[in-house]
Amino acid sequence: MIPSEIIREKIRRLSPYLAEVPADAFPGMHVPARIFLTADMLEAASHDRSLSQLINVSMLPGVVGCVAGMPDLHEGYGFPIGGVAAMELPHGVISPGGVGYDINCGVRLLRSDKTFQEIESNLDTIAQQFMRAIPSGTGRGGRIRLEREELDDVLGRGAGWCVARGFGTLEDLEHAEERGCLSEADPSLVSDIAKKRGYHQLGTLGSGNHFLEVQRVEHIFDSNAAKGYGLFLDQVVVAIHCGSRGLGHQVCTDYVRKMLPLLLSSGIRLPDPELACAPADSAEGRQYLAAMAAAANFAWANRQMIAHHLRLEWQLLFPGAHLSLLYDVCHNIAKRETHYIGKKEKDVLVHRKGATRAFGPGRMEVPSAYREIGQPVLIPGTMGTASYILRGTQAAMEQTFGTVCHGAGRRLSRHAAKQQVEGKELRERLQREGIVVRCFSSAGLIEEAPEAYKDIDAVVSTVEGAGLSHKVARLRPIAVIKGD
Amino acid sequence: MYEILPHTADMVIRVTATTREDVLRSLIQGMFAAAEPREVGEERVERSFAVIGANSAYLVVDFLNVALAESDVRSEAYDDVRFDVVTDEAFVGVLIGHPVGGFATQIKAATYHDLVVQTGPSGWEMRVTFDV
Repeated sequence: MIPSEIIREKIRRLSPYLAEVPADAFPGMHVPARIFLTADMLEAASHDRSLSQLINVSMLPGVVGCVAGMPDLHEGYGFPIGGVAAMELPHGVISPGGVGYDINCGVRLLRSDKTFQEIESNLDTIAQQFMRAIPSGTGRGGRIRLEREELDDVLGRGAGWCVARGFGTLEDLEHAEERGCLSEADPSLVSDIAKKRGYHQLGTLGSGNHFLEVQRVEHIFDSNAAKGYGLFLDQVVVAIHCGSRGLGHQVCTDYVRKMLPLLLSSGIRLPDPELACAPADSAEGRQYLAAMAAAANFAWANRQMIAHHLRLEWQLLFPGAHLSLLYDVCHNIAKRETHYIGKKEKDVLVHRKGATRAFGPGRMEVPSAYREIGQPVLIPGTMGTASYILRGTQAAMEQTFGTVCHGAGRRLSRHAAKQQVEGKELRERLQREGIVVRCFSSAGLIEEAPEAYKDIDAVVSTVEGAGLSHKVARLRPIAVIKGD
Repeated sequence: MYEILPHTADMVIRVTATTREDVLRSLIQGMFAAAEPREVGEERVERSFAVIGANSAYLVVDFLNVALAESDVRSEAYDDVRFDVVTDEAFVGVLIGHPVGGFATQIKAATYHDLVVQTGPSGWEMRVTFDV
């Protein structure tokens, strides 16, 4: 690992929102490392190893263009969290660590036709019913238990499996990244143990930083885009943040383990074994991509099932009322995309680890309803702070492979959060702010306290200042439901 | 003996012990203690395992991940291990623990990042980073 103080000497500031480590700064770098941080944020980022990790990624075989760190950049393992890198196909590498253990962790946002004032008196009941309806926490199984053939079908079809069974609509598929399914999935490349972990986990939230959140649209920045997205002031929306659960974790575990010996036998030396990788067109690379796609499909199906059950509860509470899908984004994924590198269009494998796709206007991947505006970008904040809806821009396509941040980014370790935050005080503070909290344990709540994260307003403002996305609306939490 | 060390996004457990079996046992105990099992049942359960690999350090991570997978599938937490084989290429034995209702902290995986597996005059030291 290159020490931060050495890296700082090589950094060139290109704008108030962008700094760069040039490609010739350190031996082994193939491309520059671009860091979308203000000077203050860069100072804070120097306290962990995220910058060094980003530079390590710039050394991977086949990397093109640049590697980019977002304003929520923080230390992970192998790849940092809050970063994007693209490898040229067919021979550039695929790295499971560049996707992460929670494959297709992502966010889904549902819109209601209710205002906050209309539901305010029901908020406790809404939170209670949502908590009852959606199993959360670790070890709690779902309402659906799949047989082997059914799970394989889920892994192959993603959210489409749910819609085919009446657990959603065609509009849900239209309004999800990749229409809720990566077609190259091959369930046969997902291990038996991964499948065993997945049989009883469909429709479950998990724990940690996963949550359901009822929010209100507190401020609209761009009325035209908001109208196009079906948003209005004081509207009640519901956010779902979760991923592929134990099945996805196991896929990553399996394939990092499979790729490590390849490095040893090929003589490739990497600064971190979690950077283990294989050429995308190798047998191991193709197998991982197909298994990753299957796990990603499980995550989309998971969020679709959760949405379905939330809709049932919503209709019980408000007969005739609906929750429609604004959009569903992933922030741990690797995808084949086409981007301009310099003046040339190239097929690349984009790794987004703790980073969100933010495609600009006109792209065919953006649903037709939003194509003139740009892709909705959903950025969750923390309890007690704000979340944001942005829209993707052409500038993001040019600078970051159409990518922005995924959240606020962790600032304190869970251990440090537990030392600095008191559970009762946190609950009372959230209550004073009018936020209903339903959580199985105080420990889980404390670990996700606002103090544990960076300033979401600053993170999003940096993304906007750099031109990568534009704010459409700010959302304020009114009820938080999470597992342990 | 194990210690849980801070890490910004994740968790690190460091253990020291005289023998490799003891340090692996402490890692299991530390990992499941950090996961904070809930509704721990009284019944004792035993699960066989066999982990084989060419790299003795990576084998430690693989062993922990096997335990995590079993735990997730069966809703169990393990607080002891009986080893039949411990070599540089294989760990074989039985995980021993209890059924649980869930965990306060979800450990997604043991990682190879910053892995320390070393032996010295006073015994073994291992340090593993976990994705939480």
